[in-house]
Amino acid sequence: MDIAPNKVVRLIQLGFYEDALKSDTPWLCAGCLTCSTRCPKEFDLAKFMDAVREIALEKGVEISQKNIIKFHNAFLDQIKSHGRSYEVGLVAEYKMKTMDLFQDVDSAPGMFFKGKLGLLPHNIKDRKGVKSIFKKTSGK
Amino acid sequence: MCSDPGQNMIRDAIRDKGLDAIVVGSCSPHMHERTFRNAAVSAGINPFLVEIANLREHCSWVHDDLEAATQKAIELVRMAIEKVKRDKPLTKISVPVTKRVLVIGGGIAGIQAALDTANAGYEVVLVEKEPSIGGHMSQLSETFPTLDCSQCILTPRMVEVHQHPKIKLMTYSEVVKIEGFIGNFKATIKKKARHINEDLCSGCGLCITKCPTKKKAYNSFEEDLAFRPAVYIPFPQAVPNIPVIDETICMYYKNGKCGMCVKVCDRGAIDFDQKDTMLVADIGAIIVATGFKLYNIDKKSPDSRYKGYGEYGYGKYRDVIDGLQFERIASASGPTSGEIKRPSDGKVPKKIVFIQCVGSRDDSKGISYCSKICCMYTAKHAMLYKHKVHDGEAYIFYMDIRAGGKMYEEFVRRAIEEDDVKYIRGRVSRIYEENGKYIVKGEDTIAGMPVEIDADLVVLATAMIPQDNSAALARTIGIPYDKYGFFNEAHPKLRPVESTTAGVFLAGACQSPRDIPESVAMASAAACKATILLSSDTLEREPVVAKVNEDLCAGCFYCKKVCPFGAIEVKDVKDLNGIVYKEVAYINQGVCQGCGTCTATCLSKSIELAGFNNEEIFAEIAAL
Amino acid sequence: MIYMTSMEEVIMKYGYFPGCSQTGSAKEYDISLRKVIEKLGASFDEINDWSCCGATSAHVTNHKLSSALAMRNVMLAGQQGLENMVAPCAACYNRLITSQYEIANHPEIRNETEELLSAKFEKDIKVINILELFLKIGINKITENRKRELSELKVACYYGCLLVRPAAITKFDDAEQPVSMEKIVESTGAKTVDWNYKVECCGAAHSVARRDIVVDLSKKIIEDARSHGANIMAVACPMCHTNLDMRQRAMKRAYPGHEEFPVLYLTELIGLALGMNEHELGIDLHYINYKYTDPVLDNSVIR
Repeated sequence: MDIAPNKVVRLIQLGFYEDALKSDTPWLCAGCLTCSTRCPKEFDLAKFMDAVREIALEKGVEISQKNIIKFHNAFLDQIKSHGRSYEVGLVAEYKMKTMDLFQDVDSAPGMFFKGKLGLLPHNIKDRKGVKSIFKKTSGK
Repeated sequence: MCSDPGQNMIRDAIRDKGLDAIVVGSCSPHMHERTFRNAAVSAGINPFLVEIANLREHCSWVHDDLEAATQKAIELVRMAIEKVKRDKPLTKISVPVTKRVLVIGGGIAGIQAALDTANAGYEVVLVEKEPSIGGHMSQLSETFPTLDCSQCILTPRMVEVHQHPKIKLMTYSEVVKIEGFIGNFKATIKKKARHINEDLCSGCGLCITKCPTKKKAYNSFEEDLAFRPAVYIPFPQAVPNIPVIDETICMYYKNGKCGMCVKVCDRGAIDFDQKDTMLVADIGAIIVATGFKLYNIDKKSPDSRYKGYGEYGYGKYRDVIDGLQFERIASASGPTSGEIKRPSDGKVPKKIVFIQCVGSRDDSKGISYCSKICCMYTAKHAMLYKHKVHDGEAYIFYMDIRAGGKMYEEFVRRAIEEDDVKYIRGRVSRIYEENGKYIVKGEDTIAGMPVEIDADLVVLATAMIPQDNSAALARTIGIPYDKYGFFNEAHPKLRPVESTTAGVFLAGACQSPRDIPESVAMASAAACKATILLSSDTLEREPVVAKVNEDLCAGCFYCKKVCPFGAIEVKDVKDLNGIVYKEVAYINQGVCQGCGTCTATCLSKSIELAGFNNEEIFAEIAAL
Repeated sequence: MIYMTSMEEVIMKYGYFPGCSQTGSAKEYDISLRKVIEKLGASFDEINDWSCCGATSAHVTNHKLSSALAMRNVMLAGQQGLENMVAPCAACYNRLITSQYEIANHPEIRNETEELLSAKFEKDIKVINILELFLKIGINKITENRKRELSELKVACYYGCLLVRPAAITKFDDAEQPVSMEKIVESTGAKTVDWNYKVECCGAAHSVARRDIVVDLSKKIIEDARSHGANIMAVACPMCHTNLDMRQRAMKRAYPGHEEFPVLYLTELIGLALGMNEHELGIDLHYINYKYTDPVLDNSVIR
């Protein structure tokens, strides 16, 4: 975290949008919702972080936590192609994107061995419908 | 128009042109009705022949279209003219005044109000629901910003109340009904059975020491940090010094046995058969001083209005306490004799964390307001702790420090600079127990980093909220209250100690969070307002009241159902032989507030509101 | 708070939204859930052609996509004539109810989403989490059908984030000191422990991209459970399970000397009590090997 979450809020309040958008803090937020639950002013910080991330992506701001973004993209790509998450595809695509071929090699073979990771994706029937949602919302 | 030259213009016009009624196009009658009526009176016109067309609030302030607004102003004046043509001269109603004040609540505000009123020479009935007067102030250890002993300064006042010839003290009593109106209230007071004959009891306390139910109940005066037997006085300095028997735990009420207190009481003062009694008092003015309670949601019982603090383990850990509990722990007369010890194991805490704004200023828990006193008492708590435990560390988590008041800011600075209390600006996210320590996780927003403190004791400065029954009491008395249950003042700036109900005044924390000096100031002000009222033998009331035409009245009594003031009674109409042949509505002119609800409801059109009768209103509408 | 539904409200047929993990890395959650439900006399009607709820990746990058992906499944449930749908994965549950909440409270999101799906959301589909499901079925049913009492187990019930937060949306249990899972676990005869980390975060979706964060957070959770006397943990979320079970391998490297700690799905725990074995329930698919051993019965009678 380069700056504290409340500072991201402060930067936005004061109009320093660029500083807020390039922060990696929103990307490290795991969305556990604890802040939103306990804020005495009922400020939904988790939702706010969603918005900051979305705007940062829209504006193409450079973020230091590249792997996190690559993971999300890899995840969404699976849904776009199959309608459901396909873990083998996800791991493969993520590894290609990050060029980090060795992370997770310790857990994946074990999972294959135990038959948890199917080698084939679970394709839904209405893949066209799901693809069109992607197309309409993200333009790709 | 409201200036002297403006009023003179009115007077001159009345005289020069021989006018018999006037219409003023001006601001709201709330502001200057009285001014113009007085001007009319001085020129020889009945004040009720003055009508005001409200051209400011109803017209110029609220419209942007100038053309249309001018047209509307003309219409408003035309309506007022049609009404004034039909207005009848009215004379004010005169009612007698009962020279006695009812003070509800025997905390510091009620005590002060009772003493001031009584010293002005009027009789006072002081009603307190607990067995003793004293209220929350009697529970406090020392008071800010002077650090003088709370009981030492309070007890003389309590004794003075008890001994005052003009004050009738009714403890362990509750007001159950208020009827009547300003100067002429009738209060019904329930005196709960103490099961001790107050006239016989000498207050020796032998029954208490001999009672076998030693630790049967939590001692609420000690904020549940100690126990008490079935027969008890709340605290040694209690006034009156007469015990109460708690039926719920007394052995006698369980199985008819025991009676130890009867055996040891040489005055024969124990009276198991004593019943609650009702007492009715004629009252001229009422001062409400019922105080506050401390937010303790989930600690004692859930409250649907507010959410608790599960994240702080409030209600789960015995060493996560509230401010009043800390007061008792710090009190020389408290359960630890003033030694700072934590409730769970009696150890002296070496590290204390105080948290401000628990409940207060927390919309997510349901309380938006600031409780006002917590910044000060938390500084005091930390200071008292440092004075008693020299090697101890005190941390205070705060959102802001609000120390407005004489010597208040200096007091907080003293805590920081001389007593080395560590103030951390930020909120605590969680507290949990780990091997007898309480892990307090929070944020230091000045340093911009999370902090973690392993505390031995945690004190939460919880919010001041209204007493549980405040809304019910407000309805009993007939005064408005806000969404929290605090009683509303008539005007936030200019009438801060009056309720909107004539003859009912407010003092202390029942109106909003208040500290001791403010409560005392309010109490004196309320007493002053009450004595002004009682200083005349009769009261003049506006003659704008409703009246029933008995010949037309069909006796349906819909009006009685809708009257918000309970002013309508059933009256028998008798023939020449004294036989009742019909029932009609009768409106008590003293109680009627002239709201007109009955007039609008009446099916037979037999109720007329003086100054606003049907003919006048219809004429106004027709003029539109 | 009342958790038990009254007798007349007991529904035994539920719409079922398994969620993607249940077809892969959380296979055993799906297997054990279906078996347990059957034993308790309830049945599932799986949503036809369900798709991913959008998960974390959608809601952190594109709110329209997130809303549409989640509501697509709610819409399908409605088309299938379902009144409710069980979402056993806490993350799916949270995405589904949050999307419903936003649609109910923000007309613009509603219109946007309806347009994306070319549908109207008219029917109110109640999304049920795994804890609500067992409370609805009735925990007395678990006790009644119990084949053995798991009295040796001292269970740390882990709720994580997404079952109880945000309280305004989940409207279920206390967000800070929840107790419903304890009630369910206790119905199996197991003991529960009072511990501090039951609503702390395990690192969630950072499992792959920032495994270091997940390992640290999950380690703290496991150690808090252990230090409060637990010998096993129950979870109700595939993401939490991955982080708390599978990531113990990485944990051993980051924290040399780390002792393995068994983490079971709530459904597996109930399955054990209902008499099923580890293989039937898929417990042998976990990274941490676990086998429940009944206490040795001493038949000797003291006279």
